[in-house]
Amino acid sequence: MTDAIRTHCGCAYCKVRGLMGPVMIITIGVLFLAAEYSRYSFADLWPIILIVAGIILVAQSFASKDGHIGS
Amino acid sequence: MTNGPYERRSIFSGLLLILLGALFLVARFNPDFHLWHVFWRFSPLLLILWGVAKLIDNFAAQRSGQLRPPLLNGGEAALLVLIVFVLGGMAIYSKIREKNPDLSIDMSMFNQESSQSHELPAKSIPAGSHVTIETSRGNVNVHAGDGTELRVNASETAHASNESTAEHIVKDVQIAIDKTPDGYLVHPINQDVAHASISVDFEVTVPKSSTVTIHTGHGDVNVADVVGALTVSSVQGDIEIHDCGSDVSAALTKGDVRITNAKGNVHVTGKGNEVEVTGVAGDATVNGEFFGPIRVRDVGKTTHYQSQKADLVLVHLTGLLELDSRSVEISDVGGLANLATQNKDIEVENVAGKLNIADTNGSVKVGYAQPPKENISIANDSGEVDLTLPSESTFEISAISKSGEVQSDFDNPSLVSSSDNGTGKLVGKVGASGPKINIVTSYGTININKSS
Repeated sequence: MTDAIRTHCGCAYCKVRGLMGPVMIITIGVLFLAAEYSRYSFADLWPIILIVAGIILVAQSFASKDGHIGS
Repeated sequence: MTNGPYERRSIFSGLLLILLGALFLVARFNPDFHLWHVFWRFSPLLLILWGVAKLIDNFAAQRSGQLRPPLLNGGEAALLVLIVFVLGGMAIYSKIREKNPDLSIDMSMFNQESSQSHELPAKSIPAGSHVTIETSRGNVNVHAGDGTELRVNASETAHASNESTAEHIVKDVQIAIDKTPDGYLVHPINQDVAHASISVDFEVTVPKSSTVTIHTGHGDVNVADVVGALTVSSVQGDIEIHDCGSDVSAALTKGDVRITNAKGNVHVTGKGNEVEVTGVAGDATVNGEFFGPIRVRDVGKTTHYQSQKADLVLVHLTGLLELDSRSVEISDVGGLANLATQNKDIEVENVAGKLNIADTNGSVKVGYAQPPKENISIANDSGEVDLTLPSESTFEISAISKSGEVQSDFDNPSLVSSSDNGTGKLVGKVGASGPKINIVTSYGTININKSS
């Protein structure tokens, strides 16, 4: 029941939550590119993924759930 | 479907991830920073972070009228357990790495390979020519032969996402020997292409008198028996050089360096792990941030080591200099020794010339097998100083520990020991004449020992 509803929930919390997947994928892609074309290797840069994930989690906790639909 | 108060998401897990990411980044770029060590020492900070995060949660929840999150929810607990596992894994991994330094775990998207090899016709070149070898990826082996010929064997390997691309790409790779104003340049053509990685390994024989320059991106360099000057630079890879008749300079950003028997000066710069330099007739200079250990043995002229945290000058090192992130050990120096370091434990034995040590936050141990003939000066900040001298030594001493004591095995009527307001002092002479010994530390005991 929830899946269809969740995608329609437009509260700030769910918007930020929806960002997590795409932003992670973009970050990983950028890191791989950077590893190819800069002097840093992926092994140097991977902690940035943790930092980006952390920032989104923090943003999530500050986003309001006003108007949240679903469980 | 209610609009009642919702439970907030705690900021704890987010903050934890940011902190962890920052720590890993710092650890990656600062070789002196041992992650699990720091984590262990500062683990109470996690509790503080937890408390602060909960406090912020609480205030934010009150302000917005939402329910505050529980003290520790399932997800956060799982994250903590995961972190403990990851850190434990990394600690084990680093232990294994210490035992087998060659082990490397490579992440690569290109797993189909195709290779070929070229043997170029031997070319007779004038004596003293300058031979330059370049490859952006691949190993380079150079050794000097008896003839006047330049022989080049190359093997190319292409890695691509599928086999036919790899085959196609590797066929385009050519090896060229170009004439330059003072010699020859050996390099691959079509090595740097998109959507594949091509490594070109070189096996080169040069005439003995050639001067040689080697540049490689990712790859190991191995050079032997070259009489002319040698310059090696590598971005990532190990450098091994032995039996060279002239100056040797090596620059790298990752990897180990091993240089044995050079008749000229040796110069190592950059960043990396281990450095080993043995048997240098001229000066040996190591400049940069190496994880260590750094070992230098048997240098005819001056040994110079410089990094952010240490600056050492040793004249005529007949013994060993061994240095890592925590400690410096030096034995048998024929001339003067100058050490300026931070946060290191220092052990020095048998310096024939003047000895100057400046250190902070470490212990200093100095020993002499023969009575010292030149002045000794040791300045330490927060750490003890141990000086061991033969019983027949004569000297003029001034030892001061600002918040500590000075203990001496030597007792002589002219030696005055005092202690006021916690400052320990020992001033005076042993014997009629002798070198000056000056020791100062702010916190820590100074011990003057007699060796038996």
